[in-house]
Amino acid sequence: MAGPRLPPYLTPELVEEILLRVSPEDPAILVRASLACKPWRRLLCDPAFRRRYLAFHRRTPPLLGFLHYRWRVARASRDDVCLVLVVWEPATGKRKWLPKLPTRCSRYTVAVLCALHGHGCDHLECCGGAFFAVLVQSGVIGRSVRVHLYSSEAGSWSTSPDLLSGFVVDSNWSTIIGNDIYFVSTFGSWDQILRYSLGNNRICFLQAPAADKFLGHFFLVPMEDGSLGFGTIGATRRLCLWSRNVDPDVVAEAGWVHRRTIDIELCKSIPISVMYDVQVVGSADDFGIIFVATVDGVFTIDLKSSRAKKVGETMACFKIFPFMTFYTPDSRLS
Amino acid sequence: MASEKKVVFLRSSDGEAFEVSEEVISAASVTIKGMIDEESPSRADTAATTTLAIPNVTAATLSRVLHYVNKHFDAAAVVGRPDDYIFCAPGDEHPLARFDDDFVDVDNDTLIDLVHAAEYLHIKKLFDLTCKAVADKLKGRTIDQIRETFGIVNDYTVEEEVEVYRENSWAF
Repeated sequence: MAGPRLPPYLTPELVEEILLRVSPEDPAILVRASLACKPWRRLLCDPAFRRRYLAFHRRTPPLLGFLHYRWRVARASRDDVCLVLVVWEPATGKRKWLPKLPTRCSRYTVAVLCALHGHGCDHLECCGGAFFAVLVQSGVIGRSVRVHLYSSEAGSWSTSPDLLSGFVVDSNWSTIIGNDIYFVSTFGSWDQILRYSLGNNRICFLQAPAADKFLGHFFLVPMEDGSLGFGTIGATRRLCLWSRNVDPDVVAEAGWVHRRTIDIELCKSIPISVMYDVQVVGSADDFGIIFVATVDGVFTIDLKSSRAKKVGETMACFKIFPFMTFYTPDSRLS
Repeated sequence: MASEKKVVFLRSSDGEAFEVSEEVISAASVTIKGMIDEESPSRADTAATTTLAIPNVTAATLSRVLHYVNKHFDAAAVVGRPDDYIFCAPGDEHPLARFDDDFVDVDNDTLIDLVHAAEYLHIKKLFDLTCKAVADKLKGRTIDQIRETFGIVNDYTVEEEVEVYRENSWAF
């Protein structure tokens, strides 16, 4: 029985039961625990422990952090640039450089999605797996729009045959539902939603709901029933949610049904004093959570429960990329 | 006869006997229910009260466990004492949340003893509660404090320690 020993009064089974119950909200706890001694490290780095941990805490994963920026910094001012994209996974630090795009572009937005999206993947364990990157490219002149698809499995870009006009994108909103990715425009053309279908590599426009729309005050989100949701935050400080009607028997205006209104002033965590400007800056699509920025900080609003929670101090952000996952110590340690 | 409430006695490792309703302890503890079921045939024709030996649990721990069991598994006690509900804050997930919080607000050794007792007696709710409470003790602790709390001997070499600290500097 030489070698390191466990604490005298805790069997390895009990240590595992205890560590399973460590809150996923603060992943540093498990990392520190894994450095206490080698038996604990072996236990925590074991893929079996990760599977049990995920099963034990199976619910909305915690918000571990978010990235934000005020404006894109590394960018040529007017000229079209030759883009090189990097897909970065914050959990592992891994980076994947994508091959150069077949064209040059100036205005674009990119959505990255798991290759198993819409095929039952809950995205808790697909980190490092196959993915697609969908790049929407638009030209200022003629406001033409074209979509390019990168598949990590094929290792190459392909371009949709469709070329539409009247839409400008610029690092703005997208949401993924099944095999369709939806984008909203940044400049004007806010009545249009662009839909790209992975299945057939085609794009088309949908009409947005007839609501007041201002830059930074509307967003797309998947609804619980799998339909596309469209939300606005207006001067009334109310968050209105529409869903794209999927039931042909329901008569709906331009295909949209008003679902609910959330009075943001009732989201108690948001101080009334800051209500004069609330901007939607991000969303965690799979969990029905949006991020709003106010002068008093960044808040999450759970669209189901209407609960708000302060998650950051600064309003100086243009877009937030939330990072919600379960983190357990890495097997690289062992 | 049937209306008579049956009780059993549990004898701790240090010889102290505790009375508890058979129905309540059977609902709570899989282990004790098994013991009672085994005893049943011989008890049917005798009026003697059963005493069960619980060799792995001390009197101090057993009395705490029974306090928990009576609170959580005695339906009559819960319904008959609405004060738990009155003091229950709106955010509390269940009426006994406050009781549970106070119950596990004990020193480390007492808590570990409760984990062992809950495991041995197979009382799932208590096992979950106490393991979670131990897990919560890890919050905000440094590695040295974790080692101290759990009596862990550091078996890393200095070189290994430097290496893992460097790789995980964000966690400190």
